[in-house]
Amino acid sequence: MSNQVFEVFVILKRGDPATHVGSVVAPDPVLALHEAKETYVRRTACVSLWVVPRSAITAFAPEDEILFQAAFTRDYRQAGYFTRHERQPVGPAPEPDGQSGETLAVSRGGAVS
Amino acid sequence: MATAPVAAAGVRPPAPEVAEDLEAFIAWLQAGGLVQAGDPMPESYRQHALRIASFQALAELVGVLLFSDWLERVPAFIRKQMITAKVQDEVGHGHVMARVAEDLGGNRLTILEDYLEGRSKLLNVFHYEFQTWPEIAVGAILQNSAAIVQFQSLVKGSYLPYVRALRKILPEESFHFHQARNLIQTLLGQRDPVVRRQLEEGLALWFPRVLAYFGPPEGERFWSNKMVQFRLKMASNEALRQAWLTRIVPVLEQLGLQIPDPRLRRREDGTWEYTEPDWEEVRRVIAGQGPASARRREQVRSIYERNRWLTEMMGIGEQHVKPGF
Ligand SMILES: [Fe+2]
Ligand SMILES: [Fe+2]
Repeated sequence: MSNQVFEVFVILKRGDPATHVGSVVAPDPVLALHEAKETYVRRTACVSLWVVPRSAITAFAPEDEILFQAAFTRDYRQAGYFTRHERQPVGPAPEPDGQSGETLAVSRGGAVS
Repeated sequence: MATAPVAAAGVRPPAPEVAEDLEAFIAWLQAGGLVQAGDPMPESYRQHALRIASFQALAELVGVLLFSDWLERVPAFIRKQMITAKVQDEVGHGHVMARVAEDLGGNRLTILEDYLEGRSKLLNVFHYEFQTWPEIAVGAILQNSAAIVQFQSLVKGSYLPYVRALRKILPEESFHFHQARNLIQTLLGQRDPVVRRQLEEGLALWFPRVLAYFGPPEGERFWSNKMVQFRLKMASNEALRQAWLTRIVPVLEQLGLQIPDPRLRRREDGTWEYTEPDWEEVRRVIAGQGPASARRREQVRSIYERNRWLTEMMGIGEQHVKPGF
């Protein structure tokens, strides 16, 4: 029998997102589901449980994390950016207040050219 | 960057060049770095994280035998249901920890085999067994409060899958603690002098054992411990023992139980004085000379043999795919 790792997700309340809680090893999804129930939600009030073969999950590698950093430096894409500048006198658009000067320089340079 | 500020270090995986250099990796951990399964990590870190997860998996699976031994003898049906729930929890904790170990390259059968063949050792408290029903109540409250204090410290550690496992386990340990306290209250409520005496005798046996459970004070050696440098162990043995005393002494006093340690007192500075455990004796017990050491190993061996057909059929303990998440 060939086992595989199944990642386990719990839905606590109807309408809640499925949350990853851990993993089990099992030869098939039904046994995985039973083991997940015994191991992770014996004492939890929940409405559903998912098991997903780990091999079916496609994810970015840890070193790709930098790909997501840019989103945080472009603060003009976030709602908070506007409320922070609301009380400023009317004038030219406020300078982006991101922390990383280097990334900003690149993105602003790109906008100008 | 090894010198990343604490807030940032925790949310980013180690840079590959940091993971390749043990010194840099330790500095990164000390600055608040947190490790995810599948992150690049030095081999030595992987081994230490594996050791702590395997050790806890074994403790959960074997520690429960002290209680499951009593399932047939529990004097009240509701208590039998409660002890059954606790036994299920502990086995569940063993499975959760075994998964953490397996994602680090470990193997759940090896965890048992290492114990059966003497390559790994049990905590001192698992080398004993309960003689009376009231003794279980005090043994459980002392063991569980000690485990809670320890897990609350370990949960601040650097290896995230282990931390997540502890977060799942902690509320259940709290249930075991309340269960034990409630059992003591019920037993005391019977106002039976024999039962009270058995509770006090149990306390006299288990209080020094659980004091010793945290291990001898490390002194200066603490900082040279790799587990500490890797932030897999977060507090010294003595600090944990002190935290436990602060937690458990008022609970026992409130229950109206006399703590049988003549030297126990709180010093001016808030620290506790207590009777030093006989560390020679503790070492002997852990080495396998405890009153139930041999029997415990035989129990595990017979369970292991009895289920062999099943573990083989299910392919349990085979190596799994490489770690993710
Ligand atoms: Fe446990
Ligand atoms: Fe427990």
